[in-house]
Amino acid sequence: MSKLQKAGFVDIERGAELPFGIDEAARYPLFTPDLIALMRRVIPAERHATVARAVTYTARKPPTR
Amino acid sequence: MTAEAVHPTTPRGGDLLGQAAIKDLVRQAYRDIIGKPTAFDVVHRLYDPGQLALVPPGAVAQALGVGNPIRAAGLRPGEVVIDLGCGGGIDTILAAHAVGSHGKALGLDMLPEMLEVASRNAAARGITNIGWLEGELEAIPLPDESVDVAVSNGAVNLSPRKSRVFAETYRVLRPGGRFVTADNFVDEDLPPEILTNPAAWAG
Repeated sequence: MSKLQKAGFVDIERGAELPFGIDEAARYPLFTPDLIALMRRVIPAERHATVARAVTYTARKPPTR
Repeated sequence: MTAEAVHPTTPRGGDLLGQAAIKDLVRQAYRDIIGKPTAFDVVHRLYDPGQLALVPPGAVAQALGVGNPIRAAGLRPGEVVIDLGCGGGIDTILAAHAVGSHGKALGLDMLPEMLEVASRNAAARGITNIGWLEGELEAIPLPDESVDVAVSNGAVNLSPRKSRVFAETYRVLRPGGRFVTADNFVDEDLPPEILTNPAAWAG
């Protein structure tokens, strides 16, 4: 969010949010099987379902400069 | 704790990969999946059935976003939209539908092979108010103040220069223009074994 502000954006809002766990990551081909296995091994089990969050931000360029 | 992108440019402990290495890694990772039959099913938790009915199977199969920026963008007929890191074109195609024949949707991707896939996907549905741009998010090949809306879906995190991406997006937006970006964030540090795994950068 701070990088959006620094770029000049205003009305920055945090919108839809989805948990992104290891099971979700495994659906993406860019997360290799080796990486998924590593994640399952080294990330504590209680975090497996929420390793990250997919967040949608909206922002606006000011109407006048 | 401050939220950090999953793929921080400079993870704690110093640089793990240089910018050029990150870009090469991302390019190669995406090249490897172009045209491959996929059944990754990332779309059904992100898109409405009504949206999915508008896009061809090829665009669904190549969809690798993490959110639904088109839903949040509130696109209006006649607007010009750019999809930053369009991949197989699912969001570009949805944008083209939303802005109608008097508007236009542009898909930007750094891989010409991916743009060919996206172009074929749009053509499969006879969509004509759509265009494709080869380039990088850090140097958007458009004039200043030339689009009404910019969207991105799981793409900004792939850039090692996120501030530059935001500055470029700001530049090409018209005054009052909107930016909608969906990406992954983590609240806590990932274990170093993950941060040092090159595949994590492109994932």
